[in-house]
Amino acid sequence: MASEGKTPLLQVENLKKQFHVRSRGARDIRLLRAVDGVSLHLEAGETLGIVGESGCGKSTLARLTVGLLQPSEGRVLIDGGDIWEPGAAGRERRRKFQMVFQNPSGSMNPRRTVGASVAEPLQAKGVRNTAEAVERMLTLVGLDPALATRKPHQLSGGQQQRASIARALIADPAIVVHDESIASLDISLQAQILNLLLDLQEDLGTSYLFISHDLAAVQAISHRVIVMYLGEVVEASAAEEFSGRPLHPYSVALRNATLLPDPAHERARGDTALRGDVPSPMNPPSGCRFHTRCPLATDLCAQQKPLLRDAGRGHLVACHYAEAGAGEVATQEGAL
Amino acid sequence: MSTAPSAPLPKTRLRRPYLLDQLLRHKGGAFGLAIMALFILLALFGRMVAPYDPNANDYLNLLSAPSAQHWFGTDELGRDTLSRVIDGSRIAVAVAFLSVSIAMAIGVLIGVISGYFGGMVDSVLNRSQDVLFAFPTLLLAIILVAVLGPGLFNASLAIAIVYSPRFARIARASALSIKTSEYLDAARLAGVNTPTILVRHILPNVMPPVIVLAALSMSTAQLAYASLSFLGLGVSPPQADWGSMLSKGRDFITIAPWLVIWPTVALVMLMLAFNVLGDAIRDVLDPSHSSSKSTDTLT
Repeated sequence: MASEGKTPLLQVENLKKQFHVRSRGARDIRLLRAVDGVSLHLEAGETLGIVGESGCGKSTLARLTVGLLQPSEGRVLIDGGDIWEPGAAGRERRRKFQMVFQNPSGSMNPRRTVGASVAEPLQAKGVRNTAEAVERMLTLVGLDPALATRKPHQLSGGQQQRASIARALIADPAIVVHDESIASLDISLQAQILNLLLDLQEDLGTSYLFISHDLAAVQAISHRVIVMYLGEVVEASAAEEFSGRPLHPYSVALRNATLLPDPAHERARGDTALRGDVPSPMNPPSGCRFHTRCPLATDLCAQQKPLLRDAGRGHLVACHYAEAGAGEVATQEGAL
Repeated sequence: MSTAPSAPLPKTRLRRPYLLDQLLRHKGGAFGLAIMALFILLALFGRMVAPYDPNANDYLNLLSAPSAQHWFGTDELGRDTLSRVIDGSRIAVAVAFLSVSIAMAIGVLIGVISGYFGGMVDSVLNRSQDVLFAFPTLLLAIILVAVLGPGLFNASLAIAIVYSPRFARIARASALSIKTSEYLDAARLAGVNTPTILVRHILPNVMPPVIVLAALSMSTAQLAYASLSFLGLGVSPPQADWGSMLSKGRDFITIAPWLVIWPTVALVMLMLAFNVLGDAIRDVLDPSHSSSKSTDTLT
């Protein structure tokens, strides 16, 4: 939360995206609110982590942010300018984003060489001779530049993901969005890639929007963390503050669901697992959207929607009983 | 995972020579290629190999049975059947390649555009292709030839139009799946413009199934042309042509069966070659097949 008056690099204002869904056989078209009023900001050189379980709108938010999808409502501003401004200005702003995708094998054209794929963003900018830049970039992400002549399927998953990162960074983007970019890698590779991302950020000063369902990975790489549930932000905080004191009951549940190689933790987390699935975003629950699965829910939660409020030290949370939730974590830790 | 192996990696060479190489290693592929090459050579240089002028009459040998003089016998005008079968391969091969090339060009263009752009464009193009698809193949071809007039090019064009919807379907389906792929998102994010995306990313990935269909279609396209020619809608009479040879020979089927046997054998062999080759191409282009082979060459 270091925005003292100046405009942040990236500002997302009240972003909404609705999809019209017609289920098979049904006559009526229903509205699916994938992202429902999300606001966030990102400073230069900073990493913002976004966590939430499958179906909470993380990927839609990623695609909205980079301009692959047009929002139904709200704005995405980069250096204060709307990315959907008509004409060259908007197009120029959308080019400041790059993305690293979840599936490393699907994120490069299987019929082109790795080098050609990595060079693409530079070529699109009109750079003719890209060979040198590709070589430099591949070396930077820890790949043998000779791999540039290979086809993607001749690379391992980790190499493919490194190549994707090289492509994302080659044209010097302001912001790289990672949409579950490490989810399909095994755990030791995840750690390698996370370290690589941290090193690259130090060298190049790129900002990351790091989207994942893996709370541990998000905490390891992010300066600030946002928790999403059913298309809404339920908690936003600095990463350290968040890991010490998650306030929203959903964040607490997420944290307790994180597996740790520690029997004491395993015993203590006992009964806190969330029951049931995420409710349908076509028919979200009344009041607080989490009340159907929340251990602290009361009648108030079913009726009145909690707004994001500051719970101290810039820690935002949308829960009527956030402090009680934090208390629960404390007692659990006391039991260890 | 950590890289920089001591020895430089060998550069892999893929693409066309690779495809040919793989086809020659494939049993069916080698067989199909051999037969097809034979027919293409006959089509190009048949006139030099043929024992007689295909249109010359030998009035001393009318409807004569196969003999040392006329290996495949002669027809009712004393023309040498072997020479005419060889000469007919020119038409058969030309029609197969011409009609399928045109069908592929029309179909892929329509399919890629409707698949990639979707919406209204897709609906309009798709419906019009469905209308074409609903007609029985040969009937539509006959109608089109009736409108365009007979002849080699017109018959090929008619067959191409009839065959284009199947290419459009395959191309559209591939384009649809590629459209939502992550590498296309990556290309859009990189700021690559739409024509470049179509040519660089969509087209190359649409082509493998299209090429397989093309090889398989050559066989049926050729048969469709033989049918048109049988009905008198192919090239004009003096030119030897398998379909018209069959049509003429039918009148003498009881006394001179060689007049229908040899063109049929040629027709079937060429169709077989196209079919086997099509299957071989499908095997070779299958990613799992090619990846296992290419790792062989790497180690």
